[in-house]
Amino acid sequence: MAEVILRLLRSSTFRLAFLGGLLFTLTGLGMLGMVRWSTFAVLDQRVDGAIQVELERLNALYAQAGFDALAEEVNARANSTQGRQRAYLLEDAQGGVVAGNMEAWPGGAVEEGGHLRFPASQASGEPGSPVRAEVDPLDHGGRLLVGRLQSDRVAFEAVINAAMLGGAGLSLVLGCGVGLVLARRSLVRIDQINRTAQTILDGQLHGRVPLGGSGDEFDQLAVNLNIMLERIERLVEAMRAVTRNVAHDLRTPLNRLRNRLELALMEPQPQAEAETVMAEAIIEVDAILATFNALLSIARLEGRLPQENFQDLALDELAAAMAELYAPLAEDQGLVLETVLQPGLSVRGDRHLLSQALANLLDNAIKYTPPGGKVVVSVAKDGDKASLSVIDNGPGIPLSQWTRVLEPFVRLDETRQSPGAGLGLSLVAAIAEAHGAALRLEDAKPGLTVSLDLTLPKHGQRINPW
Amino acid sequence: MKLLIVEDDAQAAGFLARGFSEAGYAADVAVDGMLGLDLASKGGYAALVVDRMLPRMDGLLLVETLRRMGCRTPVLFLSALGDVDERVKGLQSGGDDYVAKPYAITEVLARVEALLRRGETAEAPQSLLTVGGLEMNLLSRTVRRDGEVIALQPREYRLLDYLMRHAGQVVTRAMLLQAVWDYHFDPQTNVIDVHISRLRQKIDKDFEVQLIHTVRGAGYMLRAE
Repeated sequence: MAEVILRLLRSSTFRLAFLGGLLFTLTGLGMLGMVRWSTFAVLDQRVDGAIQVELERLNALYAQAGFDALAEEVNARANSTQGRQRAYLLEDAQGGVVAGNMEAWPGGAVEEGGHLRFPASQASGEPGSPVRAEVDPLDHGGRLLVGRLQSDRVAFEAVINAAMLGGAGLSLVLGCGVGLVLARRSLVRIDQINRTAQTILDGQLHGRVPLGGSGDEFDQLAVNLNIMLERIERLVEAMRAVTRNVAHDLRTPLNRLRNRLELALMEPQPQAEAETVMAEAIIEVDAILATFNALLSIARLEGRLPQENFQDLALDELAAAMAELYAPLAEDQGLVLETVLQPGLSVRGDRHLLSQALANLLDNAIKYTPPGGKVVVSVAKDGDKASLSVIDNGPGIPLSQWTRVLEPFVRLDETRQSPGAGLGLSLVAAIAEAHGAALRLEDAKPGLTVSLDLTLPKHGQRINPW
Repeated sequence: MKLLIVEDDAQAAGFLARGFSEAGYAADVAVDGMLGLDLASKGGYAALVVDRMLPRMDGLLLVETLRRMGCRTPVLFLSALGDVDERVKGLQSGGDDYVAKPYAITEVLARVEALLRRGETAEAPQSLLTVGGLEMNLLSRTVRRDGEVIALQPREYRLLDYLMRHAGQVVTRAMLLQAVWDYHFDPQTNVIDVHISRLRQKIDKDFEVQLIHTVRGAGYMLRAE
């Protein structure tokens, strides 16, 4: 329990809420302090005014009727009903008390802006209340003190002190309380995220952060974390699949190679035949190395390309050059290789990689289209995209396999008779992604269209795919 | 002619050295960059084969240093990094050619031979290439064999041009793809073979002596005999 409280107190939410509460408290105290000060000033002013008037009257009486009349009047006033709320004291020139409701000159009185302040025990009024008084020296010696009991000031002071104390206490308590509640709320959510992270650290990649359902910032965080986790899980899965496939697809040719060499060693052979075996072994090894190289290229591309190698590429020229390279091969296979190239479309990209992608697409089309067929290389504008496509009228691929063929090592030819490791389209997909382009498969009816949709730079602007 | 191999993998260097000696070249081996620089700067080598990643001194730095010292010996880079930009970096630092690992020994041999011959052919600007009865007039861009004009497509002309300039040497498919088409990748199918066979049809078909030879496991060679 103590630990939980300690965690709550240490949480940033609590600290923030507490700080807010403290600030609010100080502001409240400051405001009440201002009210207190200005109210007292007003009260004192009013008392000062009344005292002033009374002193003027008494002075006038003294001037007209003399000291004794003044003493009489002072006593009369002191003993009247109002006298209980007032303080009077008249001293003669020798300092003796002549009249008033005070026994002696107030000791310990505080001088305050030309006025005296002293407690009421020395006056006739209620003991404890403060008295504010003014003293006038008389013309022929002696002095007159007139004062007012400020019991309203005491009452007000009590009220405002209570308000300040209570308010400060309340807002501090509320601040702490709210802080604790908020901290608990956020800690609960943070704990959920921490628990999910722990699950994933323990190897359970399917763990997800639960949503609160309110769509608050924690939910947004959870949604984003979940998207990230989803992607990581998919990548890890894909990596596992690739590792499995690599192991499988490389073991087979390596095993074949081993057997070939083993047999050559077992059967004594004439030189010429031994040479044939070795040449075949080298071809086999080259195929394995080619698979490794393709895997490496894909891996490198998935880390995304530095754009320094990107240049402005005229797609029609790029496609024409590659078509020219492949034309004799297509012709030898009994195929017609045509080009339909829209001029004037250029994109930013890596010439070698895009050429390689196109080469792989042409390799596939030529490999899988039966003699008498046709392969078309096309460059066309499609909205704000430029499509670089290879269209064949071969058997095409079944719709259900469209996503599968992009995965590494997937070959629809289950017997794996034709050469290649099934990495060609994966490499094209990786090259497309590195260029921020979409790789699109379409039914060419009959046949297959594979297109790279490359973003055309906006007029006068260089494209930046990320 | 003596070659220097700078490669920290002693076994790989040994294989290369044996390959070179089969082709008639003696080769020294340096196992790190400092040793390589030391040996190379003493001169006397016809060409250097330098690995990019070396202990004590990186291959790029080694070649840059050599070039600053005024050494013009041709350099072939070997590297596990097969990226085009790695190739460009290698060439910028002063290398003359680049082979990505894993390589075929025949590829390295062919490229080193091409580098060695480059010095000889580049000296005198030629207007006529001849191999046996085959003549290529570089000014009129015409090709004759035994006096008979052979009509070639522009790409076939460039292919033959490259083969004739490297007559008597093994030329690999990758070298042709780079030199004639300016592509630096390995196509899955051997598109180059088809182009060569087209060229063969025009150059060799009607003649008794074959000039374009296939070198098994390596590539092609144009030679009079």
